[in-house]
Amino acid sequence: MIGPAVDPAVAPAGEAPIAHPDAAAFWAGIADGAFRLQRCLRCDTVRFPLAPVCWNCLSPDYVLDDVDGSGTVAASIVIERVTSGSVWAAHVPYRTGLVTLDAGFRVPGRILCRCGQAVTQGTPVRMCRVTATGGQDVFAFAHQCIARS
Amino acid sequence: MYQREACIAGVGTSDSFGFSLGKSPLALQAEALRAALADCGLPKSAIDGVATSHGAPRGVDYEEFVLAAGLSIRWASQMWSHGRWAAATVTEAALAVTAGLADYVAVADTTTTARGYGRHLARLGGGNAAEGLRDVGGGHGEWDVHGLDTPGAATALVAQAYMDTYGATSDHLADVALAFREHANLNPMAIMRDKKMTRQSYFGEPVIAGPFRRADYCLSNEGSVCLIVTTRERARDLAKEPAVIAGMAGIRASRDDYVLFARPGLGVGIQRQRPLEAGGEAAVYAMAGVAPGDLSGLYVYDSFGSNLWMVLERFGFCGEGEAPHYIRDAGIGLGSALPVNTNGGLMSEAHLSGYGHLVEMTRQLRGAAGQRQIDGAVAVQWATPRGDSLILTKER
Repeated sequence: MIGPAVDPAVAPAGEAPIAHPDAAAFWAGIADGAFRLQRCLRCDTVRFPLAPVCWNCLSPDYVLDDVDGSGTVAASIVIERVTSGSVWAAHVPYRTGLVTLDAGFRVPGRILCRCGQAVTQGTPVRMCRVTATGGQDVFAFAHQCIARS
Repeated sequence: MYQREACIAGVGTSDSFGFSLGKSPLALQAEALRAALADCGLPKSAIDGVATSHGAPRGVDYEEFVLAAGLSIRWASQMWSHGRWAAATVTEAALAVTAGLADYVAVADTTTTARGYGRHLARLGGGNAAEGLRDVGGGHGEWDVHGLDTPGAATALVAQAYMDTYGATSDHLADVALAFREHANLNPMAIMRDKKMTRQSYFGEPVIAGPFRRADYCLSNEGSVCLIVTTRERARDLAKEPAVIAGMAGIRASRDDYVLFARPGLGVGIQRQRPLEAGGEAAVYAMAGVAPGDLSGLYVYDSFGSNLWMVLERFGFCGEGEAPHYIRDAGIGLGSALPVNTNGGLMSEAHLSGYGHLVEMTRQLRGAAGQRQIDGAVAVQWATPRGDSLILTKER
């Protein structure tokens, strides 16, 4: 399970996902506090990113499995300026990046860190929830300095 | 088997490139067509094929173009979405004229921006229109929900991962921007022709995302290019010396191949982190009959400065992690063994999706690149982090 939504004072609301039918169950899982990936019912491949078919065997049949949200920073950057006109413009500077989950998947996500340690590759972080514009929860990552605060 | 039968016989551009030219995409593309026909002395009535990357609304739909320009064609190709199709579009045109599907193909592509003429045009969908599952980590890297709102932000992650892994620095990143700007300062068509850049001014540029300063980004601008692709045999009757399309390689795409502008093996996005395979891009040189050491110039899809690191390593100009040192030691400017992006590239000439590079490559082979001329240019290569490539050679 991933923890409750982080205080918006720490993680102000960013862009909401487009939870169209192919992706809706994934985002519903996040809202329930679970990071669930598709496991193919034919060949057992667990896949990321989401897709309507298995990349290994093309089967459309899957179940959603809970995946542990522990991982380490693979790459981490600060966004200083937002050029797209999105809601992120109001939140600069903020940190985001890629995290390699212990379960073997590398996933993008905002990285919440006050102490500055989560700048470097290999720093442990844990998946959390943040609330996006419109109230939909999305996944992000928090360094332990956030959990303590 | 392709026997190097096709060539670029004529090149033309819109009258200028700029951030907001006050002209519609169709108006710009008409300028480029006119210039390309005049360049090689071909009558408009001879054009019987059209190939374009963007189509509407960012560019011009092929049919709108044909009707407005009074063309009558028997072959068309139109890609859509993303600026990555320059080599693929020229390749299709080369194969079409080789196979007899068309005699003279106008490869025409135009870029419009939202703050330019695009403000008059309807916006087609949002960022997610192209790849509906991007929000959970799709290939293009604009992961909006995670604050990675543009290709630049996503590529900043690529550059940061590279720098963390191999110890490259911002000073190395500056080497790329500085060299391309120097070239643009010699290019009368370049948007940044009058803007000098020094190492000090580079570090004074605002940071946008991660290690990227504004100067590490491509320009976002308007402009158009037209290339006339035909057979070498037909080109003999035209006004200018053609550039032979000697080697071609397609875009690589796989779960391992890239996320945005990372080369394979770097370990960004879903790709595996593993050693770079040496010699993986040998086929384009074999097709062209050109060894990397025979090249006179290299032309790279420089949407961001770190792309050059990816290309130099992917195509074997240096080993894994060595690109920043290669750039510093061997140089990439005019006068170096292998000058890169002598037009100034997407970063300092204009973002023309690579077609501007192809105009420059053709002019270099003709010996018509003015102050930017590479002495004795005989073979030049277009290459991108995704592995697609074109090698153009001088007609003997």
